[in-house]
Formats: sequence, structure tokens, C-alpha cells
Amino acid sequence: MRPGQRGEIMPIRSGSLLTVVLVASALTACDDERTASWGESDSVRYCTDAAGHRVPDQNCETHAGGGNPFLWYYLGRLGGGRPAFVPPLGGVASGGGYAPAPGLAYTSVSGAIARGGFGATGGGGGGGEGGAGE
Amino acid sequence: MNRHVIAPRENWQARVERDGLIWHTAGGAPYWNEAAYYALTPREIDEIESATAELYGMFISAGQYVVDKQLFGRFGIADWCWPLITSAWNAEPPALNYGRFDLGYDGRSPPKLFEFNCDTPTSLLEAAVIQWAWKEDVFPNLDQFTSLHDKLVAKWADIAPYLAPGPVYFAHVLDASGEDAVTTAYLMDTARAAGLAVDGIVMTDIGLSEDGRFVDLQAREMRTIYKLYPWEWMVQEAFGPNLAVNDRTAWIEPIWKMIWSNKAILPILWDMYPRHPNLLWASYDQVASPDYVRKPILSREGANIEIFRNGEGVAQRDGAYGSSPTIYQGLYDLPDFQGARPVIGSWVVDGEPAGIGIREDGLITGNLSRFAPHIIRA
Repeated sequence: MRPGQRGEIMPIRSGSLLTVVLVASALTACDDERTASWGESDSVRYCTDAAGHRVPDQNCETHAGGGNPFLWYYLGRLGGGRPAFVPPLGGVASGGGYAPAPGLAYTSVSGAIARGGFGATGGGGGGGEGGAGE
Repeated sequence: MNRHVIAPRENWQARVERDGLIWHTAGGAPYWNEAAYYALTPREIDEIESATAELYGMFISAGQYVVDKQLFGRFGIADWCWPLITSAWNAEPPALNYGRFDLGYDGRSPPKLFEFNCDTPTSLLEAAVIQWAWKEDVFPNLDQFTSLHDKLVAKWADIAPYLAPGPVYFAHVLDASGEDAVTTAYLMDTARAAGLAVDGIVMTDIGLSEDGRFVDLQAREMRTIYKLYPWEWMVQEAFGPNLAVNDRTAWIEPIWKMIWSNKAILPILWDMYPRHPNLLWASYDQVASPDYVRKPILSREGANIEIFRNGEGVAQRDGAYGSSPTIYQGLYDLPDFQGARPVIGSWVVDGEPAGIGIREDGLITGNLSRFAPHIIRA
């Protein structure tokens, strides 16, 4: 192997590299207060099957009445005003109950976006040092 | 291979920061350690390069074996992921297919594989850029084994026609050190250099719409996501089950990397290639010599690794993987340069050796190890 053989295709990348710091700053500038949340609704409900797995809300709406195998699942606010976590379709209902709390108005989660469903392991130090790389 | 002490460049911190390495100091000591460097001969570089290509070929065969025999249970992978991994392995969706073989090497005997970090490898910017800039400043007339940057850019350009419309999103966690952010930002830079539109997102900000689409903070569907986040964590988190029903989003790297990045593949390699010069013996349940290492199959950064000599424990590192299944691997005596024990991180991009980075630590190499640059010198 000649000296230079492996390095010769390595360009000087000063223009490109300047962006690395900026992007890193931008990537980490996001706030760290976001937790699993579901839009801005105060209290929400979503539909589950008899086993407690989340299903599309239409199941509860169209099967309303006696013998309906689908149930509304009600979620209020957690401590500190944070909304409870709504699982994706097929996920297991948790953090709420099948009876609405008196005096609360519940809104549907249809059309809203769940967040916080990825990243819980690494952000909390699951990687031993708080990262996910190796 | 020799280690040499050398004076760091003046204002080295500002110099490496300018190239993007804001994470250059850890625990009050330099992580980027340019107070020393390694000199390798062309023959040694050739030997590492050949071993890297050879190991990559062996991983291809071992991966095919795991898929053919559906051995995922050995890897601690949940049943519902098996068809996803099998399908991805066979379909070969777009991937960078990059990774870092961690090797023991002393310049006298063949390099020996410790593990393959190919799902979420870090120390990438250091190996691709920072050490090259150091070499250009300090040894401008010598060479270095790194073509990583160019190969990554070329690979992005390669797969670009196969990606869905829209930007490639780069997702990472908010780690305290910034290491993950730096690595992700660098990879984003390589994609941008290849002409791709890019955007960044924190893993916890990834959204899931009512109809099961992964969306960004503006509710735009994300069709391609690079993630510096392990698959074994993703599949067990709240959105994990959705991966089985969403085929609209391509993840880089693909889910089949759960095979190669898992240390459960090491005993399979040893069974397929017994006494191969680049392998250490490895077993799920048997100790083949009194000097060995016990490793959790999914540990990261050296966590929960135990070293035994003559059957007695001599070193261990705590961590969060104590309940993980383990494997046994023959102990390799890392060369000792006055307490600095180097591990060679040999990079590969889609099967092609792409350079090395050297990290120094004690008996166990963790994420507070020091990265030292290298040169090639006859």
C-alpha cells in the first residue's frame, strides 16, 4: 500500500463540518419537558376491546347499546397537569378507567397525535450513561 | 503498533469543537485524547482491513443461518418481531449498513473480534473527521486509515433513489453528554452532503397518528427515519407494536440489525467458523478456558461485563443489563501501553472496510474510554 492510498479520497470538508455543531445544537435545543401526551385535551376517552386493547373509536360509536363488546376508556390529567398516555391502536389501556369521573368533560382523541411512545428507555439512562449509542 | 506521547495542539478544544466535536471531555478528563497517538505499519493496516472484510462476510453467513433456522429465541427477541426481521433480512430495505467491529490487536497476531456495533455505533465523528483533521495538522505528510466520511456520503447517494418522498429524519435521545446528538448531527451532515433533504427530531417527539403513521412535530408523516436508538428498546416501548403494522416508514438501520448487533451471534459464528483466526471462542453455556469474559447479549458501553482469569473474577462493570442472558467469550489480552489498553474500532460501510478509530481504557472498554488518533508509518 502506498502512503496516501487510504487518505487520498478524504476531502477537506470544512464547509460541511461547520454545520455539525449548529445541527447538534438545534437537535438538542428541544425542551426536555415533553412526556407522553395526547394533544391539548384536558380529559380524553378512547375505545378498547374487551381485553383492554385500544381499537378505533368507531367501534364504540357504532356498537353503542347492549351487548357491545367495546368499551370507552377514560383518562384524566395526571399529577402536575400532564395528560395521561394514550397507547397506539392495539396497545394496552392504562392509567385511567372504564368509568368517567363525575363532572369531567371528555373529548375524543380521534385525529390527535400520540407522542412519547419511543425514547423512554434511553432518555432515562437505560444505556447506563444516559445515551443510546455504543 | 506503537503508542507515542505527543503534545496536544494549542487550543485543541476549540479546534475539535470547530469540526463538531463538542463532546471532547468526559468526567473532567479529555475523551478526545491527542496527548497520545498510535502508529501502525502498512502491513498492520492491511491485516486489520482484511480481517474486517472477512468478518463482514462471516456475519452475512451467520445472519442467513439465524434467519433460516429462526434462532431469534437465542437472541432474546420477542416472537412478534421474528417475521419483521425475517422479512427485512430477505427484502433488504435501504440501509447505510455501516458498523464498527471492535477488535483486539497487538500487531503480532491476527485481530480478534469482540463484538459488532452496527445498530447504534458512536465514535463516528471522531473516526471520520476529528482524527483526520489532527493528522493534517500534526503529520500532514503521513497517511491515516479512514475513508469513512466519503463512504457514508456515497452510501446515502446510493440509497437515495429507493427512499420515499420527503426528508430523512434523524432521531436521537437527549443524552446528557451530547454524544448521541453529535453523532446524529454528523450522520445528518453526510446525508445532506449526498443531496438529501434532512430534518432532526428527538425520539420522544416522534408522533403516532390515529391511523398509525409516524409523524413529526408538525404532524407531517415521516417516511424515512434514521435512529440512533437500539431496536431492542424500540420494540418493547409503547409504539413498538405499531412497527408490526406500519410498513410506510423505513427505518435506518433496518430491524434485521437486531441479529448482528446482538452478542448472541458470537457463539454461532464460533460454531460456523471454529478456530477462525479472527474469532475468540464463544459459547452460550460452556467455558472453554479458565480465562474468559461473561457478557450480556444486549449490553452497551461495556456494562455488566465480567472478566475472569483462572476462573476468578478480576474485573467487572456495573450496569443495567444484569438480568440479560449472557454469553461466554475467550479473554483477549489487550496490549498494555502503560495502562492504556487500545481497542481497534474497525468501520465497515456496506461490506467495505472504511477505517479505524482507537479507544483506550482499562480491562473493559466503556463509554468513558479515550479516543486516540492514529497514523500509518512504515
